[in-house]
Amino acid sequence: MDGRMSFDPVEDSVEDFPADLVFLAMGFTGPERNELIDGLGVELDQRGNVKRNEEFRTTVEDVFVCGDMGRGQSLIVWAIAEGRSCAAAVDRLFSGSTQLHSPVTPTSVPLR
Amino acid sequence: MGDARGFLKHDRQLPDRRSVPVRLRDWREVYEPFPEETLRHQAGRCMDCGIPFCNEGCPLGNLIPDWNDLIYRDHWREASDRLHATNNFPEFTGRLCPAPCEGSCVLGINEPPVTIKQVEVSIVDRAWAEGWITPLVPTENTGRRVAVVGSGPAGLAAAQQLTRAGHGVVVFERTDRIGGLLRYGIPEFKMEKRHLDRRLAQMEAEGTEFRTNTTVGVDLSVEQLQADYDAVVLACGATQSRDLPIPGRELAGVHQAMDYLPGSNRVQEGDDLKAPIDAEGCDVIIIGGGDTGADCLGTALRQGALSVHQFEIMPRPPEDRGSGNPWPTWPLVYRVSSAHEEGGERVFAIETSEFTGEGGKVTALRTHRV
Repeated sequence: MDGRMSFDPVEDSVEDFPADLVFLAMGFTGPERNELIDGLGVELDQRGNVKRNEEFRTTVEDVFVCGDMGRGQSLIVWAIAEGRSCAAAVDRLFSGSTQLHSPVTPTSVPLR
Repeated sequence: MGDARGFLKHDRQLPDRRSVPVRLRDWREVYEPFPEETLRHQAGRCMDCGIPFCNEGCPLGNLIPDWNDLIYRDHWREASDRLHATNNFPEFTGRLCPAPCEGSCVLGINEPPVTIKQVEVSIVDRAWAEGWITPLVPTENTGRRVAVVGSGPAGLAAAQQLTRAGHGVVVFERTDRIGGLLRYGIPEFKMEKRHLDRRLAQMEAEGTEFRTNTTVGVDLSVEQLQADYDAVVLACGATQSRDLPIPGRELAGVHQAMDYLPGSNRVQEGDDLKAPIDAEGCDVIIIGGGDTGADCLGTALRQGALSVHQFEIMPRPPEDRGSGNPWPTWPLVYRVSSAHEEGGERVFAIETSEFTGEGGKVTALRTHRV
């Protein structure tokens, strides 16, 4: 559930490393569950990100989501691309159409 | 296309980094200036491909061959316009992005790819220096109001686009400064915060409003937010850190990276003289081999750590693409960030099973290889 993988230990490889300070930098699992998410009542998807449709809309009317909060942890270019595309979706809600650049959809993925 | 034979004449070249002993004594960015003539040669390596895969590799769809050509032809101002056509903040991505565009550059099939990211940052830095980047104040006001919650790169991009479209935009941020991870996650040595402040000044001049120290749901109720605005954009990031629930996790001295990095950023902002968690004289271990781990490494070295190890559970990646990782996908190869040049030891294929300590404080990690 927390996305950790399990690995087979190598026999007789136990080693102790002295440490006064340890920093955990193992990635991010999703948005924080807090008064904002609970207060708005937006639904989350199976991975714990804020659920949205192809127009970046959450399950609550006129509430949109973009960036890591909807996609899960990603790169800065994805954050900016999502912000631009979400802005275009909001502009479409207001104006019926938009001239704003919309480079990605909520389900766009990297080249693979 | 700029130089039809550029890629045959010039090898890939990047700016030098300042010497390690010098840069460890300050927090400034690590790169030396890059001569314009050299940059022009680098931009001229672009082949202006019939199908520019760099366009696809970049989620922003940056018009990379266009601005490479403009730089080769010495049309810097037009290059800046082209760059800003698809990217609100090239000075951030030009410093921080791992550049999937370069991973998908067609030249990269059999040669080192074009230095796209260096061209990007050079264009935008010159554009700022020349005064070409000015506020784009909207010419009409639609009367619509939008609240953007969260001020990282996603929220700021949404806010700038919506402001420029004539909507009234207010950005809410729970901390005391705007920027999200750009402000308190990214260390100064990767991106000096003056770049962020300069862009925020442009946004304010365009009419975007910023409200810091405001936690929506606490300081401002969600009901009020929904009543006051025609639309709400949530952009609060994925800030829940993965934890390591093993024996000894509760010991003092074991911290999440994101509880550590903001402290040194606050010192650089002038808020504190010393970070609340400071690695001076400490043996430091970072668990996690990614960019956040490298940010901890560079920070700990600058604070004067005695030793630093960075653990990664996966094996050391290959120097070149493996057979299952072909161009133009993201290359899963061994990467050396600026922090890795500065010191510390990287350990791959290692897992921590327990933190051990004395008097409630961590003193060692028990590990095994995997």
